[in-house]
Amino acid sequence: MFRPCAALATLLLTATALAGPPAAAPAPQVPAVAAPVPNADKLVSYRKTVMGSMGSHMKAAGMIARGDVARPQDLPAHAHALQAAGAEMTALFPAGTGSDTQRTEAKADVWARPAEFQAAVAAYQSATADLVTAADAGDLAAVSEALGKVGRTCGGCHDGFKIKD
Amino acid sequence: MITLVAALAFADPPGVAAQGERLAGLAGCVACHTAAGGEPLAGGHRITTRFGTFVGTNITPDVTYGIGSWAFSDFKRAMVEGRSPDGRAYWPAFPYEHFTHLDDPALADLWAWLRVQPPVARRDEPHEPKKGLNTQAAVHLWRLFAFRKGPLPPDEDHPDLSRGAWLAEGPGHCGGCHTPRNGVGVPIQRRALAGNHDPAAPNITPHPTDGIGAWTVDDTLIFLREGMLPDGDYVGGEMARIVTEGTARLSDADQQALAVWMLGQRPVADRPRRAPRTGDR
Repeated sequence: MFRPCAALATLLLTATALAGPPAAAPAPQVPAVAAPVPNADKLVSYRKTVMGSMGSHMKAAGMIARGDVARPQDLPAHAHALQAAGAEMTALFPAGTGSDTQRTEAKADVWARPAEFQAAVAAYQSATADLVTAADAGDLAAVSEALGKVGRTCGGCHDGFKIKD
Repeated sequence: MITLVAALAFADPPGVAAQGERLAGLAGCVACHTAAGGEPLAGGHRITTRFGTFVGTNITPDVTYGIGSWAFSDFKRAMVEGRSPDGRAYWPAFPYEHFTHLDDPALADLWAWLRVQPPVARRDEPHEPKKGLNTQAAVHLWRLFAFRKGPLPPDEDHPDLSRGAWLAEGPGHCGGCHTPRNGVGVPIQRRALAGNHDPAAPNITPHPTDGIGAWTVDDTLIFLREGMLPDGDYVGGEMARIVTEGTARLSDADQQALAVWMLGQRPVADRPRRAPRTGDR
């Protein structure tokens, strides 16, 4: 019995087998400015994770400073973590990890205005150093004040260098 | 005797400068009337909009270049009617459609504070409206659609939200930045507080995904006091200043009123985007 569908399928499969492997797809356009970073998507994912952790430490430290929870002994850990994130900040922004090529909220300004970006990073590093001092001393009032200063450096950098909705 | 009566009649109303300072912080007077690196309230701050660039004026008590020769009635006319002492309508870069809600005691407090600020002799720069717009007719057309003089109409369904409403719609003028506007600069009230592009201001309606719908009252109070968002990030730029100079200095009761009012507004979803963004969300 002649089965047209089966015959057609066999014909197509045979034709495909005889045709050889498909031609390679054309290479994707790489922007002229940024050299591709190996595993750029992984670095962006890592960067977001680190940023998220900074937010969590800020929030947790704030709860302690406000007296929502009685855990002043946890303050140094939060403060040191925030400071450590600042130390690696610049390394988290290599060229090629901006929003033109990656799913990220890092604006092109990070690389177009490097002096201002570095100043924003430096402001964060300075503020977290003060936070560490206050946290290590267990001074809740000083921690409150220092947290506010750190928060303003977060917002200050994001205002210029993070995409807003 | 007649002079005494006249002096009393024209005396400034009793206002409390310390209260005025708090209102001024919330209203952002210093932010709009101070140039970058300039003397406070002496003017020069440039506000660029699609209708042109408008320059904040000198509102120090300088007699020649500021408002030192004004009477309280001139100040009230400016704030409540949006008109200069000689009757011209102001450009709505000055958000008098919000300040019109201020009552006499609030205006008196602001006036008391303004009068004791240091006078600065700085000449105002002219505004730069877009070609064809530099007419009173253009301003009056906007006023026809966007300006309702006088106190905030009470929300009869939610009388308990009246203080928060006054703070937000009056001196706070949140909608001035956060409510989108149509092509002729009139706020789109059915999308109140749902976010704007120019200036860039997010959706702060209590929409569950597009706004602050997931925030608790505590989250909102922390935001108003510290500028911290529920994920531990912080606001920056203009809003950071509004927090540190404005909402952070309100009384606890006022912060509570404002927080509850914000969470009680109508949730409005974002408009769907026209083109996909590379970035997140």
